Amino acid sequence: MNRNRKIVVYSVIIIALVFSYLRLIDRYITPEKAFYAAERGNNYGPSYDISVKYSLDDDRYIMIGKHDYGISFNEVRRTMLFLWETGDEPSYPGNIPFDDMEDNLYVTMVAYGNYDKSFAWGYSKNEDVKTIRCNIEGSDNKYITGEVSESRIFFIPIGGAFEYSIKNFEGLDVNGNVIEEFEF
Amino acid sequence: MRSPEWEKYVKDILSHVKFKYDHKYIYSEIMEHMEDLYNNLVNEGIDENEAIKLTVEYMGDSEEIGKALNKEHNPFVGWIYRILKYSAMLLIFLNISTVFIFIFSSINNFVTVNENVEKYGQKIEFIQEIDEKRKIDNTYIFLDKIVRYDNGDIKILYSLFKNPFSYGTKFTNGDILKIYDENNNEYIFRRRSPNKKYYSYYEYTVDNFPKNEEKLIIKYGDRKEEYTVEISMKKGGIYEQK
Repeated sequence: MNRNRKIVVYSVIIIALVFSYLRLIDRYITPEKAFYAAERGNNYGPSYDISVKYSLDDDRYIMIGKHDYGISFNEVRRTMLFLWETGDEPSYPGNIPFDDMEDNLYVTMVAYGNYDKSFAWGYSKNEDVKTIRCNIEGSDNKYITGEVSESRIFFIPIGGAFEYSIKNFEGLDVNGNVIEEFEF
Repeated sequence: MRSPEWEKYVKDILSHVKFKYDHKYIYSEIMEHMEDLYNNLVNEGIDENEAIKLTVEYMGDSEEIGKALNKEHNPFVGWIYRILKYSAMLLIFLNISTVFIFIFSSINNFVTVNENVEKYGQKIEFIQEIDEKRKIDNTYIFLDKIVRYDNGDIKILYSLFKNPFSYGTKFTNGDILKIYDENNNEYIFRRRSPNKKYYSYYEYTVDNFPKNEEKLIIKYGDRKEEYTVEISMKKGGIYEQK
């Protein structure tokens, strides 16, 4: 076999071995593939719609997707310069089955760092809810809003976890009327 | 057969080949060729010393051969070849060693969990083999055995195996079992978390499972498929799968 042909053969072998090794060490080429891996690793999903891809910093994303039986929250992070992996543990809360959502408006919160980055996120079973309003306790009626995506998932950056005391969450229709409510 | 004349001749040829990493290969190829030529001449009855000189003459001009070989052994292509060759060797080593490490740590986990059964600090009343195997998504589940202790505690030993080349081998969802009694009361358990790679061996400990309960029911699976195993809690009892 001449050298040029050997180069082609080696190239094919190397490509196969690289993919094999990446699979063995659970590293992925895109954040989305790492996200799906987190889901499949916990035997649910994969999500058919990733509604949220929020950059925590240069090397980390929060991603929220929707699959046949619920919604899925996972953190993915960059590793080895250009590859992606899931976090050290499946991100809390990971998989939220629709069956476990007691109310039409399901809301939960997560915080990162020294609680300086916190987020409210969840799912609206009511298709008429278009906006989520997070009402802050206090005398000046402060609130933060977020849009509900087509897959009915919402994700609202709240800021510091102890910066505000949250009163409740309201689901608003297209005219701004409150049609759903959620309190912790 | 080697001679100083041959060595000088080949050295002249190699002086025109820029890619030094191929010199050894070219040297042995040319020498082999010259030896074949020499043997043919000697077999035809030519004197050995004369055959040595004639071999060099019949090989041709060293500069011409050297330049032709230099074209064929392009340094750029040569470097690419070397890099690819050693990269492939490194990747083969990485793949094999990774699998070996995981196999070793999985065996270690299996041995440790089974040792813990004996060291639990309570007398074992009986051990029931379950031997239930099933594939859910990319995970193979093996329900291995149940250990019943004198004080009522139960350990359920099971393992999960994932295809190493499937997605998401970093995590294994160990919390896939739910434990019930015949009256459908669910029991809380303590799970010992192993390393979470291709093969993980788990122990669930259920504290104070009532001694008068005749059956322990294990439900496992995911949203798409759920399976039930009923295990008799009497010594010598059997299990049923549904």
